[in-house]
Amino acid sequence: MERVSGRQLNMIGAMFMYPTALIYLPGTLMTFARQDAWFAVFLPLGVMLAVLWVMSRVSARFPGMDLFAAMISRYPVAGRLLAGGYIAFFFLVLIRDLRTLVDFVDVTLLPATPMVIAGALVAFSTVLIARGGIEVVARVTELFAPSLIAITLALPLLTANSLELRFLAPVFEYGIGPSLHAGWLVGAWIGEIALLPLIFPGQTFRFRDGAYGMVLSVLLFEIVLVVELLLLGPNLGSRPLFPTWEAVRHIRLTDFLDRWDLVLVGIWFPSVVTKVSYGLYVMCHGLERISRSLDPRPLSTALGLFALVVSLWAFENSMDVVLLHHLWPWIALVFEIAVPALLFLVLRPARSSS
Amino acid sequence: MINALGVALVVSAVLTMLERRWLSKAPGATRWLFGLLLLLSISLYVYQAPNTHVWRPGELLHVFAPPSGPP
Repeated sequence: MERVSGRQLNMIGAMFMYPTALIYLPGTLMTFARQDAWFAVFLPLGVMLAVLWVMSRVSARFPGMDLFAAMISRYPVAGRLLAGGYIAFFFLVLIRDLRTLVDFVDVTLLPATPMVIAGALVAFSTVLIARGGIEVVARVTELFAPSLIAITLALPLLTANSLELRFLAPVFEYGIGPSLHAGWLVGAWIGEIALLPLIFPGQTFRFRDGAYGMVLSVLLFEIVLVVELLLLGPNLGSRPLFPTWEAVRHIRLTDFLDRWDLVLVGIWFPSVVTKVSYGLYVMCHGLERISRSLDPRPLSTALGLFALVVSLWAFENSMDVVLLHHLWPWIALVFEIAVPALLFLVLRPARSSS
Repeated sequence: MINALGVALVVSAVLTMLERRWLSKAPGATRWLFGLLLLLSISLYVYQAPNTHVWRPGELLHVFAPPSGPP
């Protein structure tokens, strides 16, 4: 049986949302909450921690089983339908993340390379990670996540000479409403971490580890968002497609290190590819649970290819992916709030007749 | 169209060749799903690759666009 340590679970929790959320989400949050965007990130945290607790309680009722297995063993038909729903949800997560990353590469790093080539390279790496199983996913995460966390923590120091506190004022200029709207948008991303019990069995997944991961993820995202606000301000920060990229381009350490941004992207990139592989792994794991005749290893390749093609077809351009942020909370409401609540009420082990 | 079809077929052939070791041992359902996903990928890629105006699900997302527009 594959094993994952508590630290690896923390890291997976922290990386489950953070690396891809950095690409478009800060700009969207600054558009709505302006200078109060930093505050909006904390608003949904309590709710999503509660969802994580609910999921961990349901998971604890079935020792040795992940939630896919628990649902299917208790309710074979309805459980499979729900598992199919979660597979579809993670397919959406996968195509969203793949296209987000491919757009970023296409616009900023390799503008002359056809999108399908950049996408194929990302999808290939994703497949290689996901097909190795949860241990490989966890080890790759453990390898790259600490570097990303370290550079995130160093970001305020690297940009300290350009930060301007005046960009945070006035506080709540337009009331609390815009912050609530931004919190609604970011909550859907944070809530994805609450779905970790789908792939981790009860004895591996503990609420404490998941909660550490979620809080760490939010804090890291918060650091980047505050740096962007203090560097660019809400007016400029909400305009570019990739505000984080614009922010790290401000880093000038010395003359010979004036492209420090490329070093940071080089550290971030393996983490974001690993994050994309989570979606593919969850899908493969779910399919394996639905039917024992489905072998996740070869299927991960075909699913990776299919996800790449769908991600290239579904969105005409980057703006479609940005617009997805406005639909995403409604999808998340079903899979991150309603279904966990239903599972908490309904999913209990069968009572033995003896 | 012909280029897209060629690319899709070559990629699918390479993938199938690489997966032969696992596919030959895999249960029938896995082989069927693998084949179905490859077929869907080829069809979808050929449908959208020539950069003609094709319908995309992303068009539906414009319903959710905020009045002020995205960033």
